Amino acid sequence: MRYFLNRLGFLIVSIWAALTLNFILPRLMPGNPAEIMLAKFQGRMPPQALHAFELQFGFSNKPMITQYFNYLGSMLTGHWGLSYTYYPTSVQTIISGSLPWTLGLLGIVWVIAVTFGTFTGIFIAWRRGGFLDSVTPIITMFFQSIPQFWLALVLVYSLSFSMNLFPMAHGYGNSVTMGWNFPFVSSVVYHAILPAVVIFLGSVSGWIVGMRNNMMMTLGEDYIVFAEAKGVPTRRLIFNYAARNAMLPQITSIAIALSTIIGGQILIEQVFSYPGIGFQLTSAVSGEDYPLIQGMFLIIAVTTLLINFVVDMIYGRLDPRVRRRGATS
Amino acid sequence: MKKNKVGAFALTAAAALTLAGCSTSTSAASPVSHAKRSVQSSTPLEVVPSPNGNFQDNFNPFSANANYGTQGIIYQPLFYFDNVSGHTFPLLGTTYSWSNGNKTLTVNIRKGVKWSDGKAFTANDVVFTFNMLKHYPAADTNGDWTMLASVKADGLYKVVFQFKSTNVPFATYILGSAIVPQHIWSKMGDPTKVANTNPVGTGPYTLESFSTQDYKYLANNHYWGGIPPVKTVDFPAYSGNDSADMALAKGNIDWSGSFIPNVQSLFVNHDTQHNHYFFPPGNIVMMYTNLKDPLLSQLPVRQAMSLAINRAQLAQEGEYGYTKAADALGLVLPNNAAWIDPTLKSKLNPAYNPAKAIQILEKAGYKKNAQGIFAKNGKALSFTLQVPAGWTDWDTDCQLITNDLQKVGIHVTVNEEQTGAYNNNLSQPKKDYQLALSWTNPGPTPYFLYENLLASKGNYNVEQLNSPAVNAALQSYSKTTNLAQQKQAIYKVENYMATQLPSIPLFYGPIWYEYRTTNYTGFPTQANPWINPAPWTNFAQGIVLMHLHPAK
Amino acid sequence: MIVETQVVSVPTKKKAKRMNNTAAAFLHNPKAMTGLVIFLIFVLVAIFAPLIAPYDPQSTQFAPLQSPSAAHWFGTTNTGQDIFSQFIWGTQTSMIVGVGAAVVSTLVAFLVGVYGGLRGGVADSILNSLSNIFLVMPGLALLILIESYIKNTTPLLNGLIIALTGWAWGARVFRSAAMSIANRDFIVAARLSGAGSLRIMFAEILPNMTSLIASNLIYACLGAIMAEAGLAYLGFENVASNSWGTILFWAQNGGAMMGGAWWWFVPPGVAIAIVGTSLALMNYAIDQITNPRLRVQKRKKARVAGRA
Repeated sequence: MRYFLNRLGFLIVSIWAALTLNFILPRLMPGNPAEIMLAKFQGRMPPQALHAFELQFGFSNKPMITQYFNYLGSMLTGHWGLSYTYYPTSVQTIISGSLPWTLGLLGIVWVIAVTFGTFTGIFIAWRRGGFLDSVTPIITMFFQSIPQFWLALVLVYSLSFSMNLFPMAHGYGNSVTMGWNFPFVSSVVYHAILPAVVIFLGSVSGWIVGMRNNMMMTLGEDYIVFAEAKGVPTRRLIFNYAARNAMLPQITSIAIALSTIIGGQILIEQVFSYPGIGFQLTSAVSGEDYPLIQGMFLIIAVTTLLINFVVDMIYGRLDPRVRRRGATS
Repeated sequence: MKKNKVGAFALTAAAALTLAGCSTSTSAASPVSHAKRSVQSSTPLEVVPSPNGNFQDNFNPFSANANYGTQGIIYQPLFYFDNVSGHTFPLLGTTYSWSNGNKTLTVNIRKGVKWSDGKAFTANDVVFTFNMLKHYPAADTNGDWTMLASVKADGLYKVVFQFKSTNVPFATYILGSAIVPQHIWSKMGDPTKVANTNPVGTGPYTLESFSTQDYKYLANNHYWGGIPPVKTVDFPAYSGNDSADMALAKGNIDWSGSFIPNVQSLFVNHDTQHNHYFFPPGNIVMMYTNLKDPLLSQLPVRQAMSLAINRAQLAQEGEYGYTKAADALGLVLPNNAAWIDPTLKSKLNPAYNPAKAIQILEKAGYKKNAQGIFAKNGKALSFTLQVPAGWTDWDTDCQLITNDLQKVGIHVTVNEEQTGAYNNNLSQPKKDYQLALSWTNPGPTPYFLYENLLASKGNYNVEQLNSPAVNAALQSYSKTTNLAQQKQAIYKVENYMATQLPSIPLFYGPIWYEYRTTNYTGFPTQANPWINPAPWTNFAQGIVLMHLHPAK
Repeated sequence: MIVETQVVSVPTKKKAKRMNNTAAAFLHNPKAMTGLVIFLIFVLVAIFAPLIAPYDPQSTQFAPLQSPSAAHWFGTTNTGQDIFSQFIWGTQTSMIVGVGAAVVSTLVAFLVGVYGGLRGGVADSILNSLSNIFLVMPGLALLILIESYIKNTTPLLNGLIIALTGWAWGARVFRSAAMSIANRDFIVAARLSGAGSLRIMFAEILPNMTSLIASNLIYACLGAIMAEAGLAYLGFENVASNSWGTILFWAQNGGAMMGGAWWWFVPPGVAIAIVGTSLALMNYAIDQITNPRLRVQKRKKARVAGRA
């Protein structure tokens, strides 16, 4: 219980920190949104349009502290304001339209990469010194070291543009209707293959090498040696004795790796014109759409924090030592 | 990055237009009328105005961020004034006339027009739209009510606009405002707060389907202009120039307004018979000089700068040869060719003459200091030049300008600024810049660019010019409907531009426009640029769509 | 993400000898040596960039879009710049950014992590929360957010930002390690003899954490090179700078892929991949060396073979 409260406390504090950071940064910027908007339409808008925009954006002259609490209140109640670049569309609408694409693609590839990486790690750790053990980590490390956006561009150009094997852009074809029908779902899968391959190649190495190393550490433990001496069958030895314990550190990595993968995905989505939040974040930055930037950043941070929280809980369940150490970790 | 922005800005630019010497009688008839056609092809037309990423469900004509086509394909104004051809296209209006010392504007409304839900369109809808803008100033982004005193219907097919004071060219804004149906918008509440996801307009299309990745317009077969020749117009979303360019090269896009490097080899050569492009000049990119700066306020300094810059090189290297050096008068040519002062023909092209630049500075009393920079009274000609970060072609231009000016002894440091900071530095009352690269949007006559750029109260008078002579000339233009008088006024301003260089024109900003004639023909061409051809041009795009025909 | 096993590595008191052993083992490890040699080649290129680069990287004096030739090993850009020269100068930038960011972020991580781990209590709670927050913040998203408030960044500034946002993982590793030795005799002895925290950290603890530090440096370096390339590619960096990411930015801007100008696009990507692999190899080797259990032992191999 103490462990749970501790982690919950951390969750709340870090969300508050993310919120506050999010509040402060845009307010350090010169100009107000109405002026930015007017400047974008310079030449066309009469000066009176500034007034129109100020009215539209509800530009506030209230004291900072009032603004801060109003902001906290509206963030917590889900009122994230209206995007500048897509005014009057609300930030929630934009995010809810694109987040499922990002999370869907990310989640599936992530599960595949973790599963594949973990089993491969177990396998090559068991057969350490073998051909696969010496080759797999190096090859996957090479793929992990390739900038993902670069790999994505090379694949799009070679496989899609030149060889017509895959679609060049988008999350699904323009001729299918969105919904749970076969043409749509298969189109989504077809469009997801290349981005998925890039994300997979970019993240699988960590799981393989991590699991391999954990596994080898565990295989050296006395109880494994003892169990083996006692004649426990190999399969049981690997999975029930060794892998189970070796997987514990993997679980913490899962949450932390998530933030890295989200970062990589921002670039990949842009290459594939994928309808997720990646492109939206970069374009919001170039368009100086602060409400949208704030909302995006917040949703990414909160998602990551929540997943961390869940992972911490699972970890606490699996490893009683952590629960006892509680406050310190 | 810049290319996207030009598209986005220009998206609305088309609304800023003028009455090209409209006399008191009627507007010029559409040079290319809506032909009644019965041939309709079901092949979708793929349109990518600009690779701006995912769409949001917004078809509100009063929102600056409505999806492409909202203004023009769904909603229409009374008239459309084209800034490339200078033509006027009557849409929901048929004719208009001035009276009462050019303070009263009477518009005849087209008969037999229906909203896409079947209800009749009348003068009441027009009056309702304007009164709504009055009631919700936030929606009045054209600022119509800064000039309007009242709007009244005279029967079902006539509307009378009463102006507060005479301002003939301002009618462009008013006549160019999109009209919405009273029976729907009277229940909408604040028009700036709605996304209007089920738009009902008078235009040639209705919204068929929307998703963030793709939306489609379906032909409105009851359109007053006849049956649209294209049944489905499809707008797919692209996230970057790269993916849009590849789709264009592949033949997946029929009509595009996006920048493409090496357009000949990357696009045209994939299908020389069907792939075409044409980049008409859309605006003038200038080096703006802050006239409140003690050095830049001196004419010889500005003259020397203008002489030292090799504009042809900027157009060729910085702008990929997609454009030409600008004229010295602040006109957009050939769009404004009818307005050139005959006596200025010889001064039309700005000279490139570094030697003369040095002479002028020496004559003005400047001497080179130890660093080889001209200086007078201890003040060296050393300036900062602001440019938005990431607008790569302009970055190249700035490097070239810096080199050119360095050669004649003027030192320039380029400051790349975030767009917000850059806009702010230029637009705030106390300007925080010395030199800046930017542009001013034109209209169908030179008046609009001049008014924005040079009038003391101009929207984009960032150089802070305050010239009574220029103000008076612009004022006299705005008071008259007489073309000859208007021309006289414009000539005066042209002379001022040519001799006083309040800002230094560099090259024309091109309008990106690529099209593919495999499925449809009839697009505007270089030989016949009868309308602004970019698919992001509000109102023009709906007119172009009606002029396409299925390829044989 | 090479996982928490690093945390478990147990520093010992016999630092000098151990360091020598580690270094020797490193030099005898083929993976480590391969990685080191590759990395050093890039370092040499970076140092001697002014001598190696044949032309001014920004000069537009050549014919545009030439394919590789004797005069232009990597061809030219669409504005007639020599890509090989750009690449060489870009190597320098990337190496400075990578190594610089690695040093800065490792230093921050070491200070935050070890200080917290040693002191415990409130200071530790605060520092640990701070690093946990930084740890879960999505890296590139945070960088892009910061970029949106800073204008006209140079590669070096980007490197600094990357370092100051990317130290959290290291801090966590250092903290765990510091906690595990905080109560060792030699630390207690140093404390009793009146040594200050900083002194203990640098004189007593640092030598015991060389492998952790090396590992952290390597990962931070790899991360910084990749992040800088990503930012530059997105255009969040002064586009007039010379870096691998900027080359990619211009290549994409100039339609290099579509126009078939592979020579413009391929070198920076491959170079990043090779540098990254060399760093990963060294890190992999360090893991093996410092964790005896990770070493491949013949006994096990025989056993596996016997069963198979």
